[in-house]
Amino acid sequence: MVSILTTLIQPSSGTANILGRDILKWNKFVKENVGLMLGGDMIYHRLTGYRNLIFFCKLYNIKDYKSKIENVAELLKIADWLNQYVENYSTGMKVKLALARVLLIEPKILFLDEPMLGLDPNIIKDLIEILIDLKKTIFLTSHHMDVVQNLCNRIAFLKNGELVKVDTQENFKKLITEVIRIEIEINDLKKNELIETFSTINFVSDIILNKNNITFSLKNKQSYSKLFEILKDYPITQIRELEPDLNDVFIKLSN
Amino acid sequence: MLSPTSLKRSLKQTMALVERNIYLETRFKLVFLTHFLGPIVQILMPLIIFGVIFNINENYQFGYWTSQNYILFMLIAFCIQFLRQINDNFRLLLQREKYWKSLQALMVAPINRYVLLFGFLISEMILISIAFSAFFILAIILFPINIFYVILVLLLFLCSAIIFGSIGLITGILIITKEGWLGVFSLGLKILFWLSCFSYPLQIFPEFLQFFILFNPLYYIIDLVRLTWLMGIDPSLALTFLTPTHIIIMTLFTVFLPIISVYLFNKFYDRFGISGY
Repeated sequence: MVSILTTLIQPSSGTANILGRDILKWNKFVKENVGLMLGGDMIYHRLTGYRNLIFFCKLYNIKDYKSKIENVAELLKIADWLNQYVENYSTGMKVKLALARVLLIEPKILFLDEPMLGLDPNIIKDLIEILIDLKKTIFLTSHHMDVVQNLCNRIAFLKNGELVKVDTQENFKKLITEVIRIEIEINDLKKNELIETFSTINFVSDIILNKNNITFSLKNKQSYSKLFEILKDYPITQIRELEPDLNDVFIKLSN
Repeated sequence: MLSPTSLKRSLKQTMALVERNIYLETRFKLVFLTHFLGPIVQILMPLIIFGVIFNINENYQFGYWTSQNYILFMLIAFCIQFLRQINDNFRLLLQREKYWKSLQALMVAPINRYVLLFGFLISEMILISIAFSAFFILAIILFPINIFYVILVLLLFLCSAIIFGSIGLITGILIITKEGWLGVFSLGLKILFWLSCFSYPLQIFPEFLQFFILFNPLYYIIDLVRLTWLMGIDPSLALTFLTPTHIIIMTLFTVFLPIISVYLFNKFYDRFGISGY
């Protein structure tokens, strides 16, 4: 879909509009107004970061590109690395350079395809903040629900290439409010026994064990009393109800 | 029709591509140097063979190839071989760009596909210029011709470069879209180059092969460069072999092959996109 909308490939049938113009008839206009970023790709590993950015500035006819490169490099914290060959960059640095390439073009719409794949949480946090500050239209595709949750106002879920649902984040979360996710922390000695007990009762499902934490879904609020009746015989150190997030929505919709 | 603004923009984009290609090609200096040795190795063998043949009998003559001028034709073959390499390098560059996943950045940019062709062509001509000039100057020193013919021969070399670059764009789009077809196309090209007589005279081949060679446009293109140089040395001998077909084919291919190659590039890309990786 991203490839078609950015004119990288042509649709086998149908068409689409970008900024109110048909992508097939206004191919050049669309190319001039969109920026595409495919993770850490679309950059030259055998060139330095600076050489990469200069090349794309010239390709897009960007005026005063030297100062613009400096600004973008400062923003993305890659200024110290610009004179190094990209082949020496970490995955995070490559993604930042790829983003710098797109930002320099100054597109009206940014298409970001899996921009956070393989990045550590600190870099993801930085990039999310930068993207929010841009105040631009961003078309993001991602399997990282945390990123989607932090960046997107409107979300579309696709399954097998087909659109399942388009809605706001809040409305998506409402889809799963009837199911309650609970996390408990339990003394190591009795955790297996509790899991066995859970597996025999019908109001508990989706049990996940992570070290001393057990996460599970409770059928409804009425089941709380029955749950506490069971838990009173176990050494529970902590219990909390989890806020529904897009990961739950993703799992629910993809199933 | 291009407006002055878009022409200026296309020129800037072409120069950006030239600059990028030069940086990419010279990233590994040793690999870059081996590009020059390839053509030399390929031409060395026929040079030795002709040396032996003409040593046995100085009066041997194959068409207009004689013991007096075969070294000139070998030097021209060196130059042609460098230009021929443009085709292989274009394919290689696009192949690498496909595997590096940087090709999408080019295809999504608002650039005319002629920019792609000429950007690559100019960068390759700059990259081969030192080695090419060395053989060209050596040919001028050993077989001097007047400035008119020097310019004419250089123009014909330029036309050949455009033709080889256009073939490179066609092989390039096949590597992007249909790698399976590329094998067949490359085999066809190999046969065409083999039957182009770029390092052998036509008359050395058996008659049935000569028949096929005379249908090969590349033969006329390469032969015209040799005959033009020969015009500067021995016009009567050159005119015996020069035909209107040489000039017509060179002109048609220089003008129309770039147009056809860009047309095919666009058609194939729009239809199939980047596939196979």
